[in-house]
Amino acid sequence: METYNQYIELINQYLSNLLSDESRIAFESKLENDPEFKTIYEEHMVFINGLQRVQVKADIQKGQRSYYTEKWVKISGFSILVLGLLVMIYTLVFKTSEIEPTPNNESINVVNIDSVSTQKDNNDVSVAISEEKPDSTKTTSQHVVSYTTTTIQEKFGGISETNIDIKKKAQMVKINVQNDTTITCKEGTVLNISKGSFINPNTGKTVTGVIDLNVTEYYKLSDILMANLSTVSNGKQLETGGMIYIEASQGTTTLELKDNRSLEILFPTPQKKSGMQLFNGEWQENNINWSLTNTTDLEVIDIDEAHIDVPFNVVEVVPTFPGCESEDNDIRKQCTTAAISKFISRKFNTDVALGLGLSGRQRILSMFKIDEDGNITFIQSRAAHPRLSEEADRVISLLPKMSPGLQRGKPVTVPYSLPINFTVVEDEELTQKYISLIEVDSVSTSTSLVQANDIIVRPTEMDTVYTTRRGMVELIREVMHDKDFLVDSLFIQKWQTYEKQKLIRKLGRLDNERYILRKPLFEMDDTRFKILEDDSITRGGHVIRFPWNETQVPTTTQIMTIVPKQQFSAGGEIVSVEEFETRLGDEADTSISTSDATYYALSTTKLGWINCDRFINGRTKRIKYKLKIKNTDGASVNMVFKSYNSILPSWYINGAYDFKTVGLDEEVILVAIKRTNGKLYYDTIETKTEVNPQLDFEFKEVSIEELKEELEKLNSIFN
Amino acid sequence: MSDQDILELFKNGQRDKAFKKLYRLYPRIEKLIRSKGGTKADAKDVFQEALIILNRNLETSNFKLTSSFYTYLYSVSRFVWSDIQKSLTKQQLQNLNAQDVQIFQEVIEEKKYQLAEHAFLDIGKRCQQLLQLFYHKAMSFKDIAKVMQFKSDKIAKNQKYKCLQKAKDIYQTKLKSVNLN
Repeated sequence: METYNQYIELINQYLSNLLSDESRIAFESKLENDPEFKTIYEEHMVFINGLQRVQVKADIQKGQRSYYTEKWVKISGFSILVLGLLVMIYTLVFKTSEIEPTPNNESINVVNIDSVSTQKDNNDVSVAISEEKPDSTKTTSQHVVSYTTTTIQEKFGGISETNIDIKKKAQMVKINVQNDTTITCKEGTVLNISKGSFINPNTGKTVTGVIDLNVTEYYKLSDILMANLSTVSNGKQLETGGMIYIEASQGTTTLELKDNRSLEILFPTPQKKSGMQLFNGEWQENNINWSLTNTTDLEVIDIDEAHIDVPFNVVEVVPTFPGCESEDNDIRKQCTTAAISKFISRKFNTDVALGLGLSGRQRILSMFKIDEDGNITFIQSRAAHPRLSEEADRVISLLPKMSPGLQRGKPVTVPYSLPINFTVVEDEELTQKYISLIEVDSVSTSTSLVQANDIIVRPTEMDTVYTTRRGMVELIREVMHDKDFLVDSLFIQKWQTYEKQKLIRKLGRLDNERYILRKPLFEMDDTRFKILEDDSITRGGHVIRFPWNETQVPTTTQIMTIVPKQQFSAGGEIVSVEEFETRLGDEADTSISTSDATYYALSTTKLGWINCDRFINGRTKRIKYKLKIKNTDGASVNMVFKSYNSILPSWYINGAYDFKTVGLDEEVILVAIKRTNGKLYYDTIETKTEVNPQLDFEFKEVSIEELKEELEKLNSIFN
Repeated sequence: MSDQDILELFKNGQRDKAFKKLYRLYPRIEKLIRSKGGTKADAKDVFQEALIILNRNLETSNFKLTSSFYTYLYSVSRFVWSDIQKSLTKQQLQNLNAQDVQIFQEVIEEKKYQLAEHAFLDIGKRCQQLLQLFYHKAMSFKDIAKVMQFKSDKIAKNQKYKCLQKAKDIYQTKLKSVNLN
């Protein structure tokens, strides 16, 4: 070691030229003659060179950095110069010509009116306008769609002797008629206007540019009554699905629709009714008369019809039981209904009811769906005993494949409800026999299925209620620990099969629920079962899984339950058919979101008063109805029907209000509004229609607000 | 700036400025390396290696630049890259001319120094500093002791040997593992 260090020192001295000539020669000769010294020398040289590299590299990096910096400085300097030049050229050349955006004629404007309110007086109106100003110009990418909310007082033929204006204010929207435009009004009316639809009646020329469109919607009973609207067509009573008033103008010119052009109007409705037609309104004296337009029949469109179930009694072409093929839909309907009940009554094994401790009349409520392929799916049953519902499920699943129901030519899923009734009869003879033998087991029961005609299958008398109850979908998601797990009816079927095969078993109750998922589930081809981290696995390879709780899987499915119309008992309380229907209506309202809403779609070739109505066929005895009322002073009296959306006007003739003919025993509300000397008086009477009514109004003075409030209370009557 | 000017910079010890000028040649070298399948990072390494070899040659008194810097760096780079790729066949080696052989040998030689450099970088910060001060700055042990806060120049000297020894040991192991490969 000592020698080595000395050697190194020597080498260092040699390299630094610190050695005397003598020692240098000695060093060089030693280098040649002493191989050990030579190795040390060479090794040291390598090391010194390696060390040098570090220094050289540092210098290279330095050089490289300054090279790149210089380069960038040059490049950026140059680009700034170029940019400057470009800006100069641009300002010089283009300054004078401003680029104007050109409207894109093919694009569709969608204008949503969302803020229109009825204003008290003119002062408020101006305030409202200024408030709306920031919203008044909504710019879309290329063109401007502006709407201003203003108050427009539309012209009525009716009551004009007073200057009180309690009518609804129109929604005004500016549209460019060179574009196709869709307008969604405040209360859901959708107007589809194709470009170039309007003409100027004075010149006969197609209107271009921006026009004003005034739309007033009358869906609420209060709005309808305020406007003194009623639903009568040449003396015949109508049920309304919504009324609107449309007016188009450009400047001071009132515009009309072109001869061959029409305006598509979608009336929103929570429950669609068949037979809706389009009527145009005209004021005669104080009342409006609706006349049927001779346009094509109104079609009822379902939004996203393919995914909406169409009930059996509504669907255009009913699903058909094999052997029931017929041209006539009604015959097919009857045949299918009969065939299904016959099939069920024949296959239903009444023995299952034995030994369940049941007696008397038994009712099983079943429902199933006939899907787009005609398969029977989504079987659900409810009965007094699970064995009964199991049996019902079994029998229904035996139903043959049908041809699917069609709605507007497209196959749709059709729900079908099927109550099964039978009676468990106690066999008295047998009983007595056994009583003598066995004392305790005294009652022996035998069941007999009451004849097929006692199996009541009345789909037309069923109503559907949508609820967001948690069903199979949520259950599967809970077990799968995946709130977005894709569950289709096929998978539900599979799941149920697995349950039958005991591949899936539920253990425990309530807080301690767990599922055993057996090994084969995870080993199947294309299996959707996965072993999760927190699963416990048995020795046999089966998985024990604790399902998620309800909070982790949101309720997404709407379960449709079929409620028999006449079998209503809400809780323990008996309710009237009407009330029951309103409840159904209410429930449908809350559970069906707007996106599920159905529209009555129609095309109109005229502007003005438009009504989506159907005739009410008199099913009851019709009577003449006249009211003699004192102190009327030209009050307008309208009759509002509770059971359907209809309003009858009255004509004041010879000191009596003549409603002409009405159905007998209809529950109605008589609404009277009197306007005298700038004051409003109001009263309502709830009554049943009868011959020679003896009624009188007690008019109360009200402000417009109070009247509105009062009338809004009635809104629930209309749905 | 001509090659002569750059040579002047080297002679005056303004190595970093000279390198800066030489970096103008880099884009063309990068093109070469990339045409032979190297990446941009490869090209940077190769060019740096070529510059180190050039610098080493310039420091030995008997080196004469026979061609332009570009030609020289180009051929060095080519050999460095071939060596990295181990793509030179025996046939190609035999066909090399005298100058190329010279360059190739330098490249091979440089690899040894590279190992030494890596060994040096492995010995720890303090040892590096000590050896740098001694060999580059040619500082006396007395000064080194002052700068690095050793108690005496003897300790500094002792430390220097230890560091050197450590570096050489690392170098030897590296060399062995390289040769085994």
